[in-house]
Amino acid sequence: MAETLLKVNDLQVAFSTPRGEFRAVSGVNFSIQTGQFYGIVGESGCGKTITGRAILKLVPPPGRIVGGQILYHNNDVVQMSESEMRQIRGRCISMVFQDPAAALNPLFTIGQQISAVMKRHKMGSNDTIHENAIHLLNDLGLSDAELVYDSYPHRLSGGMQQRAMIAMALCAKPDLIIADEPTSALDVTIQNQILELLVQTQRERGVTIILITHDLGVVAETCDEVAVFYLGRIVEKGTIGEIFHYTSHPYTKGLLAALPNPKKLQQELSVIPGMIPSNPDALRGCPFEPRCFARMTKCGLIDPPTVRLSTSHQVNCHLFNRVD
Amino acid sequence: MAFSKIAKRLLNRFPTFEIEQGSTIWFFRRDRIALISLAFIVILSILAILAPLITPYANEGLGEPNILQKLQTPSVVHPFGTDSLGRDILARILFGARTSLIAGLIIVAAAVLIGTISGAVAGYFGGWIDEVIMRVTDIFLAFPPLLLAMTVAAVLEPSLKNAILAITLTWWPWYTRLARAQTVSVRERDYVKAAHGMGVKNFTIILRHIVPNIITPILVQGTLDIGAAIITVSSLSFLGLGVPPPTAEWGAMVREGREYIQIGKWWIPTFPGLALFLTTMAFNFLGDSIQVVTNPKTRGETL
Amino acid sequence: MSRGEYLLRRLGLGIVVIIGVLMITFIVSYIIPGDPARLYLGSRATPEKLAQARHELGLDQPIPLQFVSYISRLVHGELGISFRTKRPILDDIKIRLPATLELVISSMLLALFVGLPIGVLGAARRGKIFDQVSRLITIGGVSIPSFWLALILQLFFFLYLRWLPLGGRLINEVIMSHPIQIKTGFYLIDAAISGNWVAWWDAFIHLILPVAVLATYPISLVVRMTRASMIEVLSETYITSARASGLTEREILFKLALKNAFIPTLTILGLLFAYSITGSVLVEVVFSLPGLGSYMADAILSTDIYVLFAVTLVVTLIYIIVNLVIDLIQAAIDPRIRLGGREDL
Repeated sequence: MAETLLKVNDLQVAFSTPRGEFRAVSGVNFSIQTGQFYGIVGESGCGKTITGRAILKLVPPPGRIVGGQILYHNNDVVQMSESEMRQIRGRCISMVFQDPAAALNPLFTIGQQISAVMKRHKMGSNDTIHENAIHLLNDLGLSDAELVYDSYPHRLSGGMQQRAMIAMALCAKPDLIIADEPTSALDVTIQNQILELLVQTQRERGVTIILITHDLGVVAETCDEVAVFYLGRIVEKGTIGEIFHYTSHPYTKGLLAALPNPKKLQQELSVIPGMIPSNPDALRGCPFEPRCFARMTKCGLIDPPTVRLSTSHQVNCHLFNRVD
Repeated sequence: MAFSKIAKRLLNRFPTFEIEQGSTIWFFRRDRIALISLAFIVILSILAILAPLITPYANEGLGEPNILQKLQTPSVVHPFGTDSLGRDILARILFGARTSLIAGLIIVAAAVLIGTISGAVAGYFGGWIDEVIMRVTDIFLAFPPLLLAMTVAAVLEPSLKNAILAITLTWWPWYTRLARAQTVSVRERDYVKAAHGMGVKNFTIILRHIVPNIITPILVQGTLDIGAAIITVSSLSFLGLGVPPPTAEWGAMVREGREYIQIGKWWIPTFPGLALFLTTMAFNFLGDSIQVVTNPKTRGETL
Repeated sequence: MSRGEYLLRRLGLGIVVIIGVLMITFIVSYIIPGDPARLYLGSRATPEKLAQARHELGLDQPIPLQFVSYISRLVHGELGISFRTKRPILDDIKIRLPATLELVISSMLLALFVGLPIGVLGAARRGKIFDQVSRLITIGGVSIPSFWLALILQLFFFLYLRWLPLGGRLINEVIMSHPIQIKTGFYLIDAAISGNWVAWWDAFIHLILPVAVLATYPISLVVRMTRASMIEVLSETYITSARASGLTEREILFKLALKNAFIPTLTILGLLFAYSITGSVLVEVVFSLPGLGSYMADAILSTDIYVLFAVTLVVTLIYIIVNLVIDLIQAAIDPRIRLGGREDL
C-alpha cells in the first residue's frame, strides 16, 4: 500500500534578471508515491533541474521559490527554515548530480566526503561510519572499496565517481533520491550500468527515486511514472504505459517520434520544428503553441486546461478539452 | 564619442581583445571608479605637461630656492605650503608628476618590450633557446624585485636614468614568462603554420603574427603595473637612489620633508606622498577594471 | 615522473638558479664605475694606499679568479668586511637579522590571520555596495606608499596623540631597568621566555606601527585573492552537492571551501614574503629599527658595496628557500598537483 511521499502543488520559481523576472517554473503539480521510480523529462531549459533543486530548497540565486507548496510527508518544504532544511537534506532527501567529477570535492578523499555526511547526520561512531561506508561502496559495485575510500576523486574513472556519489547520496539512508541527469556526463557504456544500479538500489532498499533527464529512452527503461516538462510547465504526465502507448500531448508525441528506432533503419530522424523561445514569459496561452503541429487559434490565447484521461494520466492541451 | 571611435579602432587591431563593439562607453558608465580614475590621470597628465605655464612658481618647481619664503604653512598663496628652501610645494608636486609619470611609463614600456621579445622568441623556437632564456629569467626572478633594483641603483650614480634602468632590469622577467606562455598557445594556430609553410622568415612571423596576438594580456598586465612602477621609483628616491636634488620627485620630497615633521611642519612630506598615493591608486583602479573586462570569465561581474 | 625524480629536478633547477644568482651579484659588483678600493679607503686615499688596498681586496687578480675566490669565501661563510662599520658583514647580519625577521614574520602572520577570514566572509556577502567598498579598500591598500603611510601614522599616533612611540625597538628606560636576555633575538619571544613582561609590552608597542604598515599591502592582497577565489569556489558544483547533503554553511565555508580557495592564495605567499622583506627596508628606515633593512639603507647611502651584495645574496637565498617550502606545501595540500601523471585505478 503506497502512500504519497512527495506532493508538489502549483510550484512557481522565478529568477530576477536585469531584464526583469523570468519564470523558470510556473504552476507545476505532481505527486510521488513511496517506492516509485519517477521520471521528469524535458529539453534543456524546461525547468526540470530547477524543480529538482527546489525540492531541496537549493535554487541558486538570483532564483527563488515564489509560490506553491512542496509537501514532503505533508510538511511544506517551502515554508521551512534553513536549519530545518539541513535536517532533511541528505537524511531524508538527497541528490545525485550530473557531472560527478565536478560534484566531488577534489581536495578530499571519497571516504572523507562520505563520512562527513554521515557524521553530520550522526550515524554512529567513527568506526561504525567507516565500516558502513565501505559496505555501501561495495554494494554499489566498487569491488575495491577500501582503496576507493582512500582515493581522491580525480583518481577514479567517471563511472566509479558516479557510484561514489550515489554512495554519498545513500549513506544517510534517505527516503528520496533526486538524480539530476546522472548519466549525461558519462560514456554510453557506463550509462547503462549506472541506470541499472539506480534501479537495483530502488528495488533493494525501497528508496524512492526521481530521475531527471532529457532522454525519453532512459525513462522508458527505468521509470514507473513520468512527467513531461516544457518551458516550466508540465504538459503531460502518467504511467509509463500511458505515456508511451496513449501518448496525448503533441510535444510528447514529438519527443517519442524523435527517438531513433533501431527497427527502422535508414530513417530520417524526425525533429520538432522551431526552437525554444528566448523570452517565454511573453507568451500567452500554451507555451508549445508556436511549434505545435496541431495548434488552434485559441491555443495562443488561452492557457490549456488540465484534462484527466485516467486516474494517473493527465494532459494540458486544448485538443482534449471536451467543453468547447 | 570620439573617444569610443578611437577605442573601437584600437580594439579592432588587437584580435584577442574580446570586448563587444560600443561597449567602451557602457563599460565606463557602469564602473564609476574607473571613470574617475581615468579622469584623474588625464587631468594630472595635462597639468604635468603644462606645469611650467600653470604655476607662478615655475622656477621653484625646477628647484630654485626662495629662502625668504621657507617653511610656510599652507595658505591661499601657497596651497600646499613651502618646503625648507622656500619652494612652493604644489608647484614641485606638479613638476614631480612629470618625473613620476614619465618614469613609470618608460619602465613599463621597456619591460614590456624586452619581455615580449624574449618571451616570444623562447616560446616560438623552443628547444635550447627556450631553456636558456627561461633559466636566465628564473635567475632574475629569484631575486626579490626591489632588492636587486636597490643594489644596482646604489652601485650606479644616482640619477633618474639609472633608477629606471635598475628597475627595468628586475621587471622584464615577468613579461618574458607571460609572453612565452602566450606564445606557446598561439604558435600552434593555423595562420602561424600557414605563414611558416609559405616560407616566411621566422622573425617576421614572430613580429607580424605572434606578437599582435599575444600583446593584449601583456598590455593589460602592463597597465596594472604602471602604478607599481611609479611607487618603486619613488621608493628608490626615498632611499636616496633616484633623482638627485634639486629635481622634484615625490619620493625625494617625502624624504626631504621627513625631518621637518618633528618640528611640526607636517605638510612638506604629506602632500607629495598623498599625490603619490592617489596617482598610484588611480592607475591601479584603471588597470583592475581593464583586467576584469578583458577576462571573459569575470566580464559580467558588477564591479 | 616519480616523486624522487621530481624532487631531483627541482633541486637541480634550484642549484642552477643559485649559481646564476651568485654570478649576477658578482657581475654587478664588477661593473661599478667606481673603484672599490677608493670607496674602502674613503678620503684617506693616496695612490700607494690604493694600490695596497687593491691588493688586499684581491682586485688586481683576473676576473675568473676573483669569482672563484668569491665563491670559496662564501662557502666559508665569509661575506667580507663592511666599509662603514669595519666589521665582518656576517656578524652584522647575524645581529640584525632577527629584528627584521620579527617584523616580517609578524606582518605575514597578521596578513594571514586578518586577511583570510575577512576574505572568506567577504565572499559570503555579495551585493553591489559591498563589492564596491571592498574593491575600494583592497585596491587602496595595495596602492599606499609604505614609507608615506609610515610617516602619516607616526605623525598621528606619536606627534599628535602620543599613544605610540616614534621608533626603535625599546625605550631606553626599559633597556636599562628591565633588560631582555637575548636568546633568539626576537624580543617578543625572549622577553616572554624570561617572564620579562614590562619589556615584552614595550617591545610590543614598538612593533605595532611598523607591522601595521608592512602588513597593509599583504592584507589587501590576501583579502582580494581569498575573496575572489572563494566566490569562484562557492559556485562550484561540489559546494552545492555538500549543501544537498545537509552540511551547515559554516562547515562548508570554513572547512571545505576555504581549503579550495586557499590554494590560489598560497601562490602569492611567496611574493608577499619578497615584498615584506624589501618593504622592511623602507619601514625600518622610517621607524629607526636596527634590522637588516636599515643596514641595507645605510649601505646604500655610504655605497658600502660588499654589504649591498652580501645582504642581497642572503635575502635572495632565504627567498629561494621560502619559495621551495611554499611549493612543497602546495603539493601537500592539493592532491592534483603531485608530480604530473595520473595513476588511474
